[in-house]
Amino acid sequence: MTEPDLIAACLQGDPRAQRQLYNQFAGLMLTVCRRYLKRQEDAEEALLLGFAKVFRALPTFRQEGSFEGWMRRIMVNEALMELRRREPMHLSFEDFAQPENLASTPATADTQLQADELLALLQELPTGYRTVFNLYALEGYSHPEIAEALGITEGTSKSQLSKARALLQRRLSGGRAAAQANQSVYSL
Amino acid sequence: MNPEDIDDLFRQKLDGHASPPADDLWARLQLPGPAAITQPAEAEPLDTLFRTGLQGHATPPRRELWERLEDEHLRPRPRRRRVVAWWQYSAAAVLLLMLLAGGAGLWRGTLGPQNNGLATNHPQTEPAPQQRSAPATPSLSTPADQELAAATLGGVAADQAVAQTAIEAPKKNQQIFSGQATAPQASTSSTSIATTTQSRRAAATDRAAGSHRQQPDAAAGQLATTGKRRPASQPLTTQPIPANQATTPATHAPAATLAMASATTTELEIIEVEVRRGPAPAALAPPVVLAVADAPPAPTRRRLRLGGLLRQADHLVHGESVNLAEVTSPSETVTLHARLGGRMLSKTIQL
Repeated sequence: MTEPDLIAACLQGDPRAQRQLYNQFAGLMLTVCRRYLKRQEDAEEALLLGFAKVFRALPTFRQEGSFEGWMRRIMVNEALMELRRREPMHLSFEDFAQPENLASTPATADTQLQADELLALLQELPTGYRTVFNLYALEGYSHPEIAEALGITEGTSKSQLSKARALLQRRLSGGRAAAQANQSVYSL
Repeated sequence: MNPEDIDDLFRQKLDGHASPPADDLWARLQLPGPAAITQPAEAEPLDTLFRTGLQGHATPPRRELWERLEDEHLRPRPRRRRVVAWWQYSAAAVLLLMLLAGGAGLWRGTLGPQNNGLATNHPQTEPAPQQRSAPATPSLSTPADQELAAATLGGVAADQAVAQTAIEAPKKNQQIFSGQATAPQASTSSTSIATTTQSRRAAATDRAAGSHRQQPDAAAGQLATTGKRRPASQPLTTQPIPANQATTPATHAPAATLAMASATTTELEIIEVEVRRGPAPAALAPPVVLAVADAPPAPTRRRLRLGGLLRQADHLVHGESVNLAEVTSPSETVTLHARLGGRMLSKTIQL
């Protein structure tokens, strides 16, 4: 069944079509949620809520543009809402500790890391770092958009991103023990 | 080693020593530091690393997640509530209201009389027996159905029901009888509604002394009327008067009369009240005559009876069988006669 047909069948409430749509996209969407939410159960909850919203809002989907992109936006939105519920970010995004000038090798394309490792790295980040990094680096939002979505200033968004990158960099270069020793400095 | 010597040691060893910087240090200095964040995301290798690693990655969800989605969001369980329940509750509520109204009516009746064109009865002087009527009557007010009289409950109870329906029906005129239920006869289990009050009376004629009209027991299974006038010479007591047998009509709804009399304390006049079921007979039988039973009038058109409806509602609440045919019945009338000295007042009400 082509995607438009599938969507049309779902619009009519066909349970099998709904199941098929779910099977097709649930894996991708769950990874999206796992990027944002530390705990597996929170990610799953966001997945369900996101899919519920997708099915509810399906009539509003204009058949132009990517369906997956439309769904992804809904899923990210739901993940952010779940974050607000489960992992409240510090209101004061400015923390005092400045990231040190870390002697680390930049990550190169050669460094093939498994997706799970990457997810694990993300989940170790403090919530604010993780969220901004996800939105900027992986979703492609701009700082003004991130600032509006999270209710922070653009400057905060930028600094959160740089700190996230620094931390990830350090972890990637193998300084995992050192990173954990400094975890308390960056924890929010 | 004194501190000065340590200084010398370090200076000797390290002066002039060169630590060539790492080769890539210059390259690293070229990279944008944490402060430089205006670079597009594509140029940032870290971003690219994560993006390529996670973009197309799918995590297969657990099997029960789909079921959760269905149960909680897509097809939540329909709320099946017992739609039937509500009107059972409303029927019970109506019943309760009728009970309360009846109880209130009775309560008011025992305290003070109401004058609705009939002779009124004043409060009794003997409170003890009076109490009996109060608890006895509420239990009977529930089956407001006239047909209860025809049931096995017995004539007396039926008469009490007759009296009570006259009392508690809110739309009817309230006729309050301060009756005293005396001790039941030994032969029957039903309570007699003999009322006696005044222990003495002055201007006693042969009409004096409340005549007690009692109902026979349930053996006959039908309403029977009886009336026996006590001899004037006898002082009024609270002794139950043995029920007199009355000829019972062959019809299914015999008329019944119940007379409750009471005497006032202040007035020494005896007031007799007679409640007769059915319309007023053409010729009013004198009290001394037995068996004033009347055949019911020709059945009029069947109409919906509140009492019947309530009774069926009561059945419904209690899970018993419901018979809608019993809701309608020929019109029931109750006639009340009151004799005030030489005058006679009567009132006929339709139930």
